[in-house]
Amino acid sequence: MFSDYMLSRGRKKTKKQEDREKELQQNQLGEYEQEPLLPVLADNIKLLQSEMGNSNDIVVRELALEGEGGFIKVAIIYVQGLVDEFRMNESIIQPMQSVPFQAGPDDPSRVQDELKNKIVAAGRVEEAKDWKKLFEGLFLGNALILLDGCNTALASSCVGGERRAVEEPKTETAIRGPREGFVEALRVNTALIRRKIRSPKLWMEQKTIGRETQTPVCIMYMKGLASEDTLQDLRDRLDAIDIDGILESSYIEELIADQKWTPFPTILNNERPDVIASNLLEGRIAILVDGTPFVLIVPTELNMFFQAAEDYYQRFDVATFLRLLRFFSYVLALVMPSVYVAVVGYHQEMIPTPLLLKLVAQREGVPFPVYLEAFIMELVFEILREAVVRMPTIVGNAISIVGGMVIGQSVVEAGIVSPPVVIVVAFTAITSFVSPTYNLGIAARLLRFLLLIAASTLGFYGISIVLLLLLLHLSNLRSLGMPYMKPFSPMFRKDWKDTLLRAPMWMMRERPQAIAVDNLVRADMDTKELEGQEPVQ
Amino acid sequence: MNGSKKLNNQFIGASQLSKMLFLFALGTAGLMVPTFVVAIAKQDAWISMAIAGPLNYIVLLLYLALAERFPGLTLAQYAEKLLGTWLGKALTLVYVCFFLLLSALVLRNIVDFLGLSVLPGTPNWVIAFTFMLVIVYGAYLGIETIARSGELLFGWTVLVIFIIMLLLTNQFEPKNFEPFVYEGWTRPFKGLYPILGFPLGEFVVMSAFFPFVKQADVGKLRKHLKLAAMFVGIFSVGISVLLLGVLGVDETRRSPFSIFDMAKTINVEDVIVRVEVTVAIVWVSTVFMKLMMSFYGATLLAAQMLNLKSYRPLIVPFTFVVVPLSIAVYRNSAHAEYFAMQIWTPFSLTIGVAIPMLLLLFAFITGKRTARSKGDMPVKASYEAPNDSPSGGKAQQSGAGQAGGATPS
Repeated sequence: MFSDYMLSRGRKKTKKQEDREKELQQNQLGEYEQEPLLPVLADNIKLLQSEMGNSNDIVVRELALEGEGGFIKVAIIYVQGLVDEFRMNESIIQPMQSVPFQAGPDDPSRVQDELKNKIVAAGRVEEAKDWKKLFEGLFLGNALILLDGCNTALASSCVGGERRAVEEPKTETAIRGPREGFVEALRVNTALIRRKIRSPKLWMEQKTIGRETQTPVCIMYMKGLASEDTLQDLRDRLDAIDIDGILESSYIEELIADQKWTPFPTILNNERPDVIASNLLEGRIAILVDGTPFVLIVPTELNMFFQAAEDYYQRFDVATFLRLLRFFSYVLALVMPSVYVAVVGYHQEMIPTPLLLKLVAQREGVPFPVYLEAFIMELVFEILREAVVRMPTIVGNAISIVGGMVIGQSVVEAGIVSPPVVIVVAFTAITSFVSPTYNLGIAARLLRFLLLIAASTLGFYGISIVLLLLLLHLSNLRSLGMPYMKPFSPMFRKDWKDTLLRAPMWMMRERPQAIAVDNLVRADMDTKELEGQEPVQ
Repeated sequence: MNGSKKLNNQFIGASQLSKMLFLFALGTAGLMVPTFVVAIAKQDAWISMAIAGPLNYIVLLLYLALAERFPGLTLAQYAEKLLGTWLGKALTLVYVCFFLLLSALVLRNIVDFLGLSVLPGTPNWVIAFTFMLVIVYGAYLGIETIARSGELLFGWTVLVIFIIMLLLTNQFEPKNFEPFVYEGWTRPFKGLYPILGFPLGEFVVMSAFFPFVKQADVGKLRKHLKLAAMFVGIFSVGISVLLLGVLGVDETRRSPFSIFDMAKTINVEDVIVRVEVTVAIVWVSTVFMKLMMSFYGATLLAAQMLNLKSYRPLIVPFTFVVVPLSIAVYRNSAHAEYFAMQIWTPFSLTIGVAIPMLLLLFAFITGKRTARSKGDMPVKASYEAPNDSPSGGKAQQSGAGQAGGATPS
């Protein structure tokens, strides 16, 4: 019936679009349209079951309730596993059965009002007026209450079922700092943020994205801190998404990114509520997607990828040192193999003579030129790494033994690869794990090969050409309209206190100028006064 | 609200422009000019450099005066306003050719430098084409990206030059400066001659960039340019002092890329030795900015001359002009030196200083000027908008549409 409805909507469209639409209709499992429910209960149930292909996780519990002047036919429909059945019994079925209704079967809308206002003991009860709303409610874990003779349904919330509990985040652990991480349930996640920011200014907007998955997506921001332009831009982009399914926030990330052709992540994700809260307080916007613990933050800057949550929980001097170390390691991870190839292959004069002699002695008898050596070892390492990541831990150990023994030792002993290359590749591997965010590391993994090719063909000149291209590329990137290289370029010197450096808390009195609109003052305290205070004896 | 508006538009900041100017001035000039100046002024070359500093600023003021008279217009556009369509277009053509020639010269310089110093075995055209690859990419991305990368390069360049200067202090020999002003004050003034053409006359490229400076920063432009000129002065004096102190007059005179040879002498405890490649990398980046700016200026002016909607279609054709021209422009490095020391100065001064001065004079006499239009900028609207209109919003819509199929509405 829905497809008929679809066809009846005549619109002027190009032939191509029409073909495409037809194709889509055939592929679609069911496009719920805003069509009202039928007046007869039995028809509604029949239609619903046939639309769902009689799937047997849909439970239809039919009841006949005592009312004024007769029995009222009621059906409670829910998806087994999405609903807390015990709670549903207590809050819906039991109250319904225990007291007779004041209205009768001849006036179903009054019965419905009575149900809604008096009988159902659930926190949230909504009226579903059409099939679209009805299905939405059903799959979000509501129990639907349908009445005979009434063409609307009640959706009463009693979400339940098995979900993961809040536990320590796996991707970013901190020695000091909160231990809780996001989970897959959207409501739990929003609550975790609400628990951090207890302010009425923390606003939330919900959308449903994904034609089939109907995934709830939530935008959270601090009203008055987040830029309205950016917000509107984000809303437009989210509204423009038309896809069958959103299974992870990475789908959203890819679909709303400013530039699609880049190895760099232009949207940060994190699974720590404290990180998200601190970003919200800076005036950024969080995007929460149901079904994943990874929350997106926009707009993102490159330097955010070098910041770990713990930087703010440790002393500022240590944090600054660690940040610089991370940045330095990232640069090393990017260029080290290529610099080695360039130096050994093209610019041997840069190596002090004793070291050069050592290197030459080591390379004695190695059958491959240095760039091939480096390339092979890099590739081998990437393969090893991928093998370990995808395997269960028990097998993973075996792989690392084989990798370490065979590749690390035997290859060198057999004289196929020289030891310095192994050292370089191994050290590069370690540096690439220093970055606190995984997806920035991936960019370095890819670019490393590009740099390696450039270094083996044109030496240092090749490296600098690729780095210049990279510089132009990075300068061109934007995240939700905001330049990616901020606050370095365009320069916001006041924001530098929290970039590669982490200034002491008492110095970070203002929010990043580049993000927060007005309301810049974060901490209003006179440090001079604090310093001048007499120490308490 | 204002915050993001300011960031989203296609204009560059005054400080970004001044950093670009710094890189432009230090571009090939920092690498090559000291040799020429030392040839004339001997151990007083640093005085010539010091005199050149204020001159840089005066020339910049000339372009600034024109830009203030015709806000939002490039040289091509106000030449047309002043001289009429055809004469203006003819003059623009002269400038397009000049910028192209300048690009070719700069490219040739860096190719020669890299060929002689770091890549002796690589054919010149390979270096030229790979270098132009970066330039084409940058020109395609547009002025704002260029300005932003210039800002990042600036910091890096200053840092590396500073480190190199520090590493060289142990070899500094004050005796090399004696005798001070041995032949009177005429010699340091004579030493100005090569500087006047290279880079002073080339600053005319800046006139293509003034209209992009955002409205809020126009007032600060003069201050920032002054700072940039000062920085250029300090750095070129610093470099020449170091060259004379470390290499001495004779060796500086003999070496075509003296700063590179100077870096070769760096030796700290026999561990940090022969790090001249880092100097090469720095000069690759400053020359990159200079070439970027002159090439972008050429495409922009040509597009305005031809009334094109965008300068982008000209990028690739111009590449195939610049690369062969760079190979043909000198016969060998001796010819290059003769050209830079004798011919270039009057040539670039005519085009870079004399003609703009006449234009300004003409504008004064006829009293022509344009009022600053509020809001829309002609340059922005016609030349930069297609690249990235405030956000990827539109591109996004089509992208998402493809991903998910036709929109159901």
